[in-house]
Amino acid sequence: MSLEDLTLVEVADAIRTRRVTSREVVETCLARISDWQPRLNAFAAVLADSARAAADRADVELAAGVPPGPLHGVPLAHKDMFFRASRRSSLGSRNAPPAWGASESSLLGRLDAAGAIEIGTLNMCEFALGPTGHNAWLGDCRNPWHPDHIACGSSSGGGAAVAARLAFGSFGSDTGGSVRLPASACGVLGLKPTNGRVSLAGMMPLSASVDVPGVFARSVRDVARLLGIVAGHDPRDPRSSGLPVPDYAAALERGIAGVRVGVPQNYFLEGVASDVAERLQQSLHSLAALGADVVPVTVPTPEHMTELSRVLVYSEAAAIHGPWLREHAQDYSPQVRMRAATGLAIPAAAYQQAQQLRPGILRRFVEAVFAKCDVLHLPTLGIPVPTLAETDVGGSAAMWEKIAVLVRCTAPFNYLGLPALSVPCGFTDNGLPTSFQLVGRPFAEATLLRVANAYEGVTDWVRRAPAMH
Amino acid sequence: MNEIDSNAVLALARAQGHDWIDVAAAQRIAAGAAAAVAAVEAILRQREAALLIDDPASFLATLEQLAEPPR
Repeated sequence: MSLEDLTLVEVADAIRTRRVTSREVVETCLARISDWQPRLNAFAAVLADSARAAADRADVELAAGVPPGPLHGVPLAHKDMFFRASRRSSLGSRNAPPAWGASESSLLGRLDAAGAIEIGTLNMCEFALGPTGHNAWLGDCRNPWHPDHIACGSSSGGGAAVAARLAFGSFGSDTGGSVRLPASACGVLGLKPTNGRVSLAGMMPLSASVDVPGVFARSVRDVARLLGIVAGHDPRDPRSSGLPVPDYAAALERGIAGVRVGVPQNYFLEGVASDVAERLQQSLHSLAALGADVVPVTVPTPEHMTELSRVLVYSEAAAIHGPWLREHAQDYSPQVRMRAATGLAIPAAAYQQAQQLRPGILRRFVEAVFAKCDVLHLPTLGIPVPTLAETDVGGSAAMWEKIAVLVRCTAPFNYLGLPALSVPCGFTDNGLPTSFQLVGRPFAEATLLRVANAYEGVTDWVRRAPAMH
Repeated sequence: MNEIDSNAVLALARAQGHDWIDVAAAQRIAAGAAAAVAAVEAILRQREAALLIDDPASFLATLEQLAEPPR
């Protein structure tokens, strides 16, 4: 197996046992970035010099007997919205407020402490507002399986870069599906953790009530390792949970005999394309063959939760962007400035009601659904991955409808704050990847990973790599 | 019932100094805001008003209370 096809855990082990140097791994990624970047536009910036220097330091430390961290010498790349005081993040924008970005990202700090190397920053939708991967300022990010198709967004570069083996893992943010959608479109795993599981400190806010950092990776074991490093309470983030962080990797091997996999009988499967539905059904057969009990579940009021989430997101986005937008409207693309301004027209009482309803709706959802099943199984994206042209609606009247189709199965879980994992399960008739989504109780990431790991053990979807045409 | 139409959006935009918002933008913004607010009203019509006495600050605590028990 070639170096780039190793998973994150495999390459970390290879570096730790000195079967390969970090410098060799970094050079492999840089060579691939050089080949793929003109086609994908997955990177906002490539940090070649600093990555090489960090790799050389990692190799020297290992040779000197310094105990390696769990990501020692492994190149990663993240959505360009995790702040470092030493640089200016683009945030996918033409002109971001200069005052933003003064605080260092806690998440990057934890990855640094684990020994990771940052090989670049990744393309994203402008200010993380967009599910397609279009970007008027940095250029559109394209799908590695076919460049005419979207990578989805808003963490578009994360899905594209990890799928194309340009980095061994990535973090993005998920406010309506912004990790799970690009993961699904590009054929990699994408985890949105429970809100509060991972610190928001030093990450550009779109809507702090709803935002959560999420993971892209090419194996379940990789997701477990990355989540285990960044999860846990952060004194810099009062929204972060103090609940103990489990050993996610240890939970993977327990199998899924008797695990109840719930299939929604309402809303989520309505309007799903036939080829997506077929792959979903095949994945359920695989899970049943592994010993899971597949059970029907009725889900309470999912049709309203996407809009409830929008009340929060647009109100908070308008509060954050309002002053800058008033003076710099020309620096926003038409769709993004209209979406950022939508909260200006949402009454404060409606925002407060959406906040007040949230704990009760969550409680009722969890009690109704997870009394009957351990995980929900549903689509991530109910349609085949569309093309850039099909979704290039800008600020036209069609934008709300196009966005609604893309986030239909993901945004409800942002309102609920529940953990959700997108798992590749094959390809649709257009040759693009598709996925199923697992959703669990709060802080049930270990259970989601356990189910996905069992499925990964009997399929090879995440091992398949896109070819450069 | 909230009436969020393009005229209301234009008036709000002027009041808040967002002079870039024209009639076409106001129509798009009104469509998005109206749909979002309608969902809140639909939930409240489903006799969910009792939930309005919940403290929004309890959301993280609710997530923690409903967490999967350790295995």
